[in-house]
Amino acid sequence: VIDLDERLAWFETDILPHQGALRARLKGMVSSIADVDDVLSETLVRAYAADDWSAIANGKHYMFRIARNILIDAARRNGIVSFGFVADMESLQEDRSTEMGLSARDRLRHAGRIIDNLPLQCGRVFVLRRVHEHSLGEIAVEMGLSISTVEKHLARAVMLLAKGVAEIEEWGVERERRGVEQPVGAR
Amino acid sequence: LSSQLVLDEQAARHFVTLLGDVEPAQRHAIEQWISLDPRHAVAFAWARSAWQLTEGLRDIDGQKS
Repeated sequence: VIDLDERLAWFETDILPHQGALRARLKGMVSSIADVDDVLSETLVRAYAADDWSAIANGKHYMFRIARNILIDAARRNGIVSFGFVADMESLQEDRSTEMGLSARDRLRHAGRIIDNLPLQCGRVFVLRRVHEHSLGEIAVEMGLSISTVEKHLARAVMLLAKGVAEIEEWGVERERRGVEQPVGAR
Repeated sequence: LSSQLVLDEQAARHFVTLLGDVEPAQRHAIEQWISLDPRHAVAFAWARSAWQLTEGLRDIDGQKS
């Protein structure tokens, strides 16, 4: 259990915050959004499963290296190793950018917008639990729902928030690089 | 539903369960689920990170009222 807690904490602190940067880089290299999602998901899974996770000094570089290896394996399988691809892989390997996307304050502001746009009951349950710290039982009474239904709404809110945050992180990185308009989902 | 969506929902449900008063056996079962597959752990980490991100909402709400 200690290993599980520590590994999760490391993953949440050293790996997940860089997923937006990796996604933004992959978009320029991988042909379709579905592929970007696949490469990113596989990268995160491999990073989490690393045997030597506690010895990894730079989570971002580690994650980028995993993504590079995944792309190289895929290219070899498909026989599409071009000069351009090799150059892309070298730049991914040597990525030393320090962009972290949004500040904590910006993240919180965007998270607030996501919550404002949640389905009505999901949003209400989330705010009552997270902001006003009501118990699930209290929320159930207040909203005239079963505790099980309250749990479902809260879980859905958490899931939608997580998805929205992932997209916003990517947008933050791109904004830092190029200065782009705010994404529709974050308005 | 895609398998990823099902997994994300399951991870979020487990995370929400752990927010409440949980029997040791139930906590253990969830920890086993997380440990069973790195994909489970990643989905759980997403849920927990999203929750932690909103920690400051309480302060903002306090400032508003």
